[in-house]
Amino acid sequence: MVDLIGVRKRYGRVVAVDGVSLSVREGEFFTLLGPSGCGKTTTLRLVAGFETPDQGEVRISGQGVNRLPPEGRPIGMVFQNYALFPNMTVFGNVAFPLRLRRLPERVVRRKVGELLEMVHLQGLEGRYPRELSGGQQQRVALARALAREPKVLLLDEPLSALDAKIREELRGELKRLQRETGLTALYVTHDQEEALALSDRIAVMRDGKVEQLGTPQEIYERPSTLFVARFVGIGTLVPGEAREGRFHRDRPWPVQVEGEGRGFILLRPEQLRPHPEGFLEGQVGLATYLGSLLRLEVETEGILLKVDLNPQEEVRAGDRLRLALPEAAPFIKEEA
Amino acid sequence: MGERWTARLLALPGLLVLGAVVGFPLLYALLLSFTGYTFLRPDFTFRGLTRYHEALRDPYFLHALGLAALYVGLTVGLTLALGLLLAVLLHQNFPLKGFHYFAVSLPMLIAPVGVGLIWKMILHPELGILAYLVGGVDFFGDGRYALASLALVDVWQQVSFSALVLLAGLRSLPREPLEAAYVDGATPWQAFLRVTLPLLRPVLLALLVLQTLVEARTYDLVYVLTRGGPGSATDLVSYYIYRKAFLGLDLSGASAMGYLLLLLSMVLVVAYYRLLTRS
Ligand SMILES: Nc1ncnc2c1ncn2[C@@H]1O[C@H](COP(=O)(O)OP(=O)(O)OP(=O)(O)O)[C@@H](O)[C@H]1O
Ligand SMILES: [Mg+2]
Repeated sequence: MVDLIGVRKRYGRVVAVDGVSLSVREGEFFTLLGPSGCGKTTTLRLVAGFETPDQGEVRISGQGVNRLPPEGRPIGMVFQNYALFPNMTVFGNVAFPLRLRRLPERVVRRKVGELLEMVHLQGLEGRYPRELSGGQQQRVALARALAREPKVLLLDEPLSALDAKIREELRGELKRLQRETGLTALYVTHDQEEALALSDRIAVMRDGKVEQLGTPQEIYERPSTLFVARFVGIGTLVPGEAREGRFHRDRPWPVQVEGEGRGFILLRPEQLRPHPEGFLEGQVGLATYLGSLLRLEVETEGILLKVDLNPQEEVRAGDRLRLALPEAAPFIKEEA
Repeated sequence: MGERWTARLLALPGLLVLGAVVGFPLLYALLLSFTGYTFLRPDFTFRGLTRYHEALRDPYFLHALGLAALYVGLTVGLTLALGLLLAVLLHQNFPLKGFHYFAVSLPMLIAPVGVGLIWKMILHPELGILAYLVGGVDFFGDGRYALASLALVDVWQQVSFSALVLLAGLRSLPREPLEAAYVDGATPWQAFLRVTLPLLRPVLLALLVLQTLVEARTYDLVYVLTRGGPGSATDLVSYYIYRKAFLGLDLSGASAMGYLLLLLSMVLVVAYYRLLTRS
């Protein structure tokens, strides 16, 4: 649906997007994930048509759109700061793209009604943006973006200005809306949890390049680089060596790995379990109660392991603990 | 002694000077406006609102007031419209932007009297280059053109300030609403009318207030270019008040008129302020 082929964009001496190639399939929820300044917004703006690539091509529905202005592309866009028109009511905002198409007022009214119902804002037609909460404003923005019946919805950190609670609520609704409408969504965020929760596939970006592309499971369970391993999820990278399918430190560990040579295994906190005959023995340095879980930092053999336990467990800082390791773990080769 | 008192003490000299050069004349003029004081008959007897009544029945004063209203409407309207146009043009990307920016801000850097003298030469019926080019029009000597000519010279100078303020306004606008409008299918012109202009409204209204006050007291240009003539074609109210005071020597009458003008300006400012704060 959206194809980027070797797309490159620079601002002066900064290469914001450095040879990105990816294909977003029809009906897919695709996320660009990465730290601040890695070029996510620029990539999205290239798809929207606010920027033109210096090299490479952007295609939508198989058609090259490099020369097409934003209004000529079948897209809708939602911005981080809502970008509503402050001088127009909720109705006016959502009706804006419809009125530009000179639809009869009767049709406009019906469509706006449907859109507002879709984002659960019936009854607020007459309000101005400043009279709405952040979450409501973003719903209006979403309705406006959908009004033109775009094929691709572009969203640039649409939830990051909202409170945690509203963020989660709207996240669910966004996913539901995208499923129901069958829309293709290209979503930008720096929040890895959000990316994992929403996406069909994720492209993790770093310094203008795609570092890894895959489903949330692939990204979380098999990060291909240290950067992705550190950026996505929580875990401990344990340095060592892969030899004959097993991980070695000063002694062989009962952990299967794929690969050969020096590198790291990634141990997720939920994979480590206390066990009387566990392979590792260590001392709890820090125990943090997080409501749904108890997060420990366990020091063992010169490593600080993050371990998640049931919050009911009675473990305190200073306790000694044996830990069982997972049978297999992702192995990431040391970078040259 | 507390810090607050130290602060007040330090501000005192400045306040005293300000009081002496602004407060005292204002108060003195107010007191005079209730007497029959003239330079020929320095008489401080209290006469109530007599001079105000006389002013409101003085056809020359009313003419000057009407003329000033016309002039303010003309200059402020033109200044804002042209200023907006220039600001939008300067907001685009084009080569030699710095030079154009400088050129637009230049008139602001010249004293009004200097502006008057420059244009007096350019528009001089015999020596002026422009008068020569358009075939001997007497811009300031002909009652039909004098007020418009005066207004144009004024606009030429004032437009700098408006253009720069509006440009600053344009630059401070968030770019997303505009981009949202483009994605929604708006043409640049539609986006300008329906998104940019409403977002600029506070800046435009503030400029409207400022420019109205500036133009309502236009005096220097009249003095340099026309002295109110020909006849009374450019006899704007502040110039008329000046003449009443220092040529007619009627200080109390002029003070009353000055206060009437101040009152009118304040009504306008309050009205604008209402507009500005309503949303
Ligand atoms: N208009 C611009 N002019 C110059 N440099 C820019 C411009 N836009 C972006 N950049 C630079 O390009 C790089 C990528 O920026 P981009 O906005 O795409 O990052 P991002 O991943 O969206 O970051 P964030 O999470 O902070 O929004 C940054 O180094 C940024 O400074
Ligand atoms: Mg960004």
